[in-house]
Amino acid sequence: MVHALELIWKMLKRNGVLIETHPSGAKPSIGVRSGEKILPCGILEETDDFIEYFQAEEALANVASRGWFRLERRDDFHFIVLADTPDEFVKFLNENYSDAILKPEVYEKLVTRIEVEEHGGQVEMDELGRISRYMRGEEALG
Amino acid sequence: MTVQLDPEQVEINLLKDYMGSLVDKRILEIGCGNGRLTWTYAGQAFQVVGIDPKAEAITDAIENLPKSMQGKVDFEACTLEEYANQHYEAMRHKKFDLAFLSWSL
Repeated sequence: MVHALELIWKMLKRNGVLIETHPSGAKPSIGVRSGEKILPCGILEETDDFIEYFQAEEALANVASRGWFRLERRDDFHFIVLADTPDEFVKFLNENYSDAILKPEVYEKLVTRIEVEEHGGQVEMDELGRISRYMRGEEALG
Repeated sequence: MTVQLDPEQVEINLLKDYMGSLVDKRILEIGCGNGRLTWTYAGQAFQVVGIDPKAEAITDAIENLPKSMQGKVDFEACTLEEYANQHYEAMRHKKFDLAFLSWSL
């Protein structure tokens, strides 16, 4: 990860900017969205406990401490995924979240809650993302 | 559409705010996938290069490239390291104003 940031440093102009987004590391919540309400059904687990996101934080802190990049701004935001059915949600996870574990009890809750909602519902995953803006530093690499 | 990402466009709006003015800017988007975010800002930029190691996603991005952005946006299926190696000489004289590392560190 530090190597990738080193490459980016080399590719940027002197006053270049790096914008980086990654998951915060908090486990995404999963529920059913029906109209204005959200019915919680559980959380999404990952096989590696989201360790890579904490490693990303460490890499960014590392290059900032070396003066390669200077943090200007950072925010957390809710990244929402909506799927029309639990099966479509599972397909989406399989294609895009290779480490994800959707526990059977969470899946069952999604199916049941969508069935009992008078006006139906959609599966909602709420993942906390983090966005940061860095200014390229003038410190030489090394 | 059966799966929607960021339906309220929270990420997109925040990203645009973070990017600021893109007039005359050269942008490198790392982890561009199928161009989901690229389309939202590329129109304002001078030039955009989007890279992603997933060849299938890059094929989708190229196929869905709006005509108005042809010649302005380039996509390549490669890793950051591969891109840096392939364009080493060119980048000594043609660096980027902004790099966007999208969910891929």
